[in-house]
Amino acid sequence: MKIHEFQAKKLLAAFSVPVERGETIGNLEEIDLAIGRLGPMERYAVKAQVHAGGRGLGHFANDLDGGGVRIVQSKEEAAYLARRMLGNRLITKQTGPDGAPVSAVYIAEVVEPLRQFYLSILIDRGAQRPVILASADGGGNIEDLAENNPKKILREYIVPTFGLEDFQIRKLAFELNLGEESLLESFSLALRGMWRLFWEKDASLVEINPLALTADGRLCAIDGKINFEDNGLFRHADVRELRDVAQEDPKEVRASQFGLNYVALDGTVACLTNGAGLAMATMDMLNALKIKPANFLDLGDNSPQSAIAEAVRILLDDSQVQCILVNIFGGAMRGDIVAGGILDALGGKKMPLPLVVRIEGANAEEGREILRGAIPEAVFADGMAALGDKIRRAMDR
Amino acid sequence: MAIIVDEKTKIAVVGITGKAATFHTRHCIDYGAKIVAGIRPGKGGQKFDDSVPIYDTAGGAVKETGANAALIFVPPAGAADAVLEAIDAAFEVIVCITEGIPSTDMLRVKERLRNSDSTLIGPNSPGIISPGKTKLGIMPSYIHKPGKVGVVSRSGTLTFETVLQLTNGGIGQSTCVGIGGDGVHGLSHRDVVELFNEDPDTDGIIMVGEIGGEEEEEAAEYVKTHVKKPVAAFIAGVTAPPGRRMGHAGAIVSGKKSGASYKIAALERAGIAVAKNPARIAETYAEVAGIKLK
Repeated sequence: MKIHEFQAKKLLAAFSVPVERGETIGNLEEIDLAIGRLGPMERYAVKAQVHAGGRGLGHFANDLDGGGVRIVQSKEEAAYLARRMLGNRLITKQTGPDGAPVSAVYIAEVVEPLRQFYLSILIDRGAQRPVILASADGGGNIEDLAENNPKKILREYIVPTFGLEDFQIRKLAFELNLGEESLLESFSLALRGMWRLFWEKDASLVEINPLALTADGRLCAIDGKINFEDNGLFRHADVRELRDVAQEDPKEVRASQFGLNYVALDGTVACLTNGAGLAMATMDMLNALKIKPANFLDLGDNSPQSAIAEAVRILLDDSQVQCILVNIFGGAMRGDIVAGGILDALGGKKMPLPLVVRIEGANAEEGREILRGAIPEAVFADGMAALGDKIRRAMDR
Repeated sequence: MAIIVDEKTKIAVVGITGKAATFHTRHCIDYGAKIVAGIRPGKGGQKFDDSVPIYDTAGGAVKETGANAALIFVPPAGAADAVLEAIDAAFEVIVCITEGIPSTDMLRVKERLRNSDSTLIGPNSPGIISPGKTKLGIMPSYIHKPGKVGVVSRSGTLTFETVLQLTNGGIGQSTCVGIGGDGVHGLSHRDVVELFNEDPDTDGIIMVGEIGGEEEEEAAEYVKTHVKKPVAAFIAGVTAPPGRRMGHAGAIVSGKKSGASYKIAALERAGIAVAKNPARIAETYAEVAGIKLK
């Protein structure tokens, strides 16, 4: 789960990571009050809040030129920008052509960095341990740095059952040239906070880029990004509250309420599939046939029939969809339950679109039988290869 | 012969009274698996289906029945704890079916595993089957056929797909291992490929991978230097949009390396035959193994 920058900053601050002074504006009435609370400043940073990177280089859909991260000299300009950004849509290289809705605007003091660091904590899947990535070359794109100059990224692995040790913090501090006594103390506080936040809140990424060192010797997180692991959300009500569904595809929000793994794509063949691997393989197979899938869907092992019915409704409600493909290989999921879910979604009505079905595995024959009886025009395929052929034919018709 | 489990494996099912566990335990028993115990705190002394004794603790089940494999069906919030208890009770093999365990919990499990002799399969795994011998998992039994090809996969349904293609083509399997779809998990692709390589009764290997992580690349490195047996593979997610989690917690393209085309290139460099079409996984294996499908 992603959260906004302003939410990440609040969390970081709560875990003793220094952040700049800033105020968040969620509606127009709050603008003057928020700027008032900040007090007079020489410059203001005004940042559109969307769940996408590349905000600075992005552009707005309506009534405002320039990017989503701006620095202005007066509170009047800051208020003007906030007014135009709020409720607008910001298009960045990560959002697609429609952009993402600006749910909030963050206005903050402008921190002038003397030096910029990169710091993050995530799980290293190779080592199967959390790792701190750190660099004295912060502020830029970390993936580019990893590609072009991997030696500039320090890695410190954490044994999670012991936690972050003092010597590890010292080691990083000296390598980043932050070893002076006064700096070491604030660096230690910040890094410890990041680790506690990562571990206690089931984050999948805690990233600060850049962490600024100012001329007067302060550390400050200028931009922060925190992602949470979906599997850990069940035990963090406070984190779940940070979700901004406006940033997500409405079809995906609907699917997630039923525990379905659904990803909206832009094609015309809807996929009702189970298991992540088979669902991905089905999507890949369609693409190889030059047929665009409308979605990725992994029904999951324990979805009840009601969730499957909702999945089918989501597929049917998608106006782009021209054909429905069913590829189920039952194990934990069963063929008869999937078939029952399809019929529940139709609620006695005729299937409005061509339906091509492949069901194998647990209770497969029962499932096929149910569909054969209720949807006489359904086409059945035996195996993946036949499924591809029959979809091809259904689309050509 | 088979790897990891065979007809002698004595199995304790953890969380045996749950709905899914009940359904799948019965299928395992029907397949001939030796289910010797159930584990469910608070239900010790009772029996599952009037025949399998239930114990309150993993240690109790081991002591009374000599069980050496644990098959775990505990819901996500308590699943890692069940794995920890199984490690503590010194089960040789621990298979965790549960999907949705938080990574932080699994990281704690991994630290315990490092200092133990237990082998963990999963979580978020369909389990493991040595066809004709035993089954610890949720895979449909009828698709399997005893034989000499080892299958290792991160995906349940794609393992089933691969196995069905093999069986329909007349090729049997020695053991099929679902290592699971999570980022933090037990046995890796490389671990299982190594076991298949050392197993005299496994003639060839099929590896089914997907986007995310670098395990397939590690296994490819091992194949390149150690494996003379024919190896075929399939990688799911060639057309997955980057940055999106595709069903499995571990299936996400982050950066170039975890993408499917990078993996496919690494596998091909190691001499592995990679099927480009999921309908042709068994065919691709048959070609590289020099055998004919029925």
